[in-house]
Amino acid sequence: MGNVDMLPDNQKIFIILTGCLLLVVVVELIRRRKMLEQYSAIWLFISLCAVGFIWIYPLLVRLTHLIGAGYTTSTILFCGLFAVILLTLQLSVKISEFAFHIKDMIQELTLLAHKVDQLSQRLESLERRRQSEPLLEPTGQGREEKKANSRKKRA
Amino acid sequence: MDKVLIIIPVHNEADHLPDLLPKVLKEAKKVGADVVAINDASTDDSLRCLTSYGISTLTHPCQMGYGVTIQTGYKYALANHYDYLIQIDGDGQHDPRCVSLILAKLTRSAADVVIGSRFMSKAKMPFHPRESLYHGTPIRRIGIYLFRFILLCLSFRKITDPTSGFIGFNRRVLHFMCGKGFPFDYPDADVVLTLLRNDFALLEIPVYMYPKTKRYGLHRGCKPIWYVIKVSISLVIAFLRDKEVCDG
Repeated sequence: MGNVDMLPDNQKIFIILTGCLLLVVVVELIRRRKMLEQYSAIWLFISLCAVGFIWIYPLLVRLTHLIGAGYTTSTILFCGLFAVILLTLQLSVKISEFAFHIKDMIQELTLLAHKVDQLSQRLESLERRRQSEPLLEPTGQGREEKKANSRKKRA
Repeated sequence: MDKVLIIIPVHNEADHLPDLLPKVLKEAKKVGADVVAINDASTDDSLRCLTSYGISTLTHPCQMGYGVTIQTGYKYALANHYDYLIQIDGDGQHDPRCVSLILAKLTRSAADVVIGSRFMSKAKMPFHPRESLYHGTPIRRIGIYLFRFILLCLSFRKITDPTSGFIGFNRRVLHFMCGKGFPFDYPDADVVLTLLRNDFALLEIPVYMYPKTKRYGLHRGCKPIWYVIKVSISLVIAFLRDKEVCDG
């Protein structure tokens, strides 16, 4: 572990401050409902890692030694790149999921719209038929009254 | 009596529909089938043309692509309890007279799926082609030979025209096609492999296919090279997938 360089203090402070800023932005986005909690997990993890950089620094040095990197900055860069790749992968999965949902919704909408069209056409034709048919003859007492009236008129 | 549905996926095919629709309607009357067109948000006069011929039309509110369009037709057929479905492209490439041949094979054989092949011998066809036949552009033909080879390696079945969109199937397959297993982005030879791997009985019969007069339609957006790469990847993925449960 001896040949791995140590980060200067100003670099450590810069990383911690960047982490704090990212954490604040992520929390604010969740608070304003601009980001769902389920998509914030990886961002929260990255920002918390940056905030707790002082405590995870020995781990970083050990990881640098383990993967054979010359500098801790290279390991940080690699970890950042890996996190971005993971994030992109997660987004691709989510986009595919949404594509499935959109497809199903569009198809359902299309089938329902067709059904509504058919029903409204049937309703229109029924309405038209009702209007064109002559009124029904009155029955029972009403019919008798009508007959009596016509007899009176003739007389 | 079995209920049969003919579906026509349409996207900006106003130039071809006046020629195609009377022939499809004539054939549908002959075999006692219903006809439904699925209009994939066409921006030309396709919808007006379809309604002027009295064809029942399902219209997507936005363009969703060929795969989603035909699956909407499958879902319609499933919801309306059709026993057989035959799919014919709206660009006039497929000869509607072959619909009765596909249906006859479907009803009189044990096949679940009947694929219309442009490469099989037409010696025993009961009628002659209307014009010169189409066997695909050079890149498409290379793709077809490649897919044919991959299918042969992965399923040990020789399918002469794995990219054919002139296809008919029964209700059991309809159930399967409406599920998650259907690749809606660009269904092609991978669907054939998926069907074979799920133990559906496939059969090919010769059909007539004609060249398109205009190079547009549902296949327009797909660049030929990307198409070959995509379908090749899909074929390998379809081979790696587990069998899907079919409750139909």
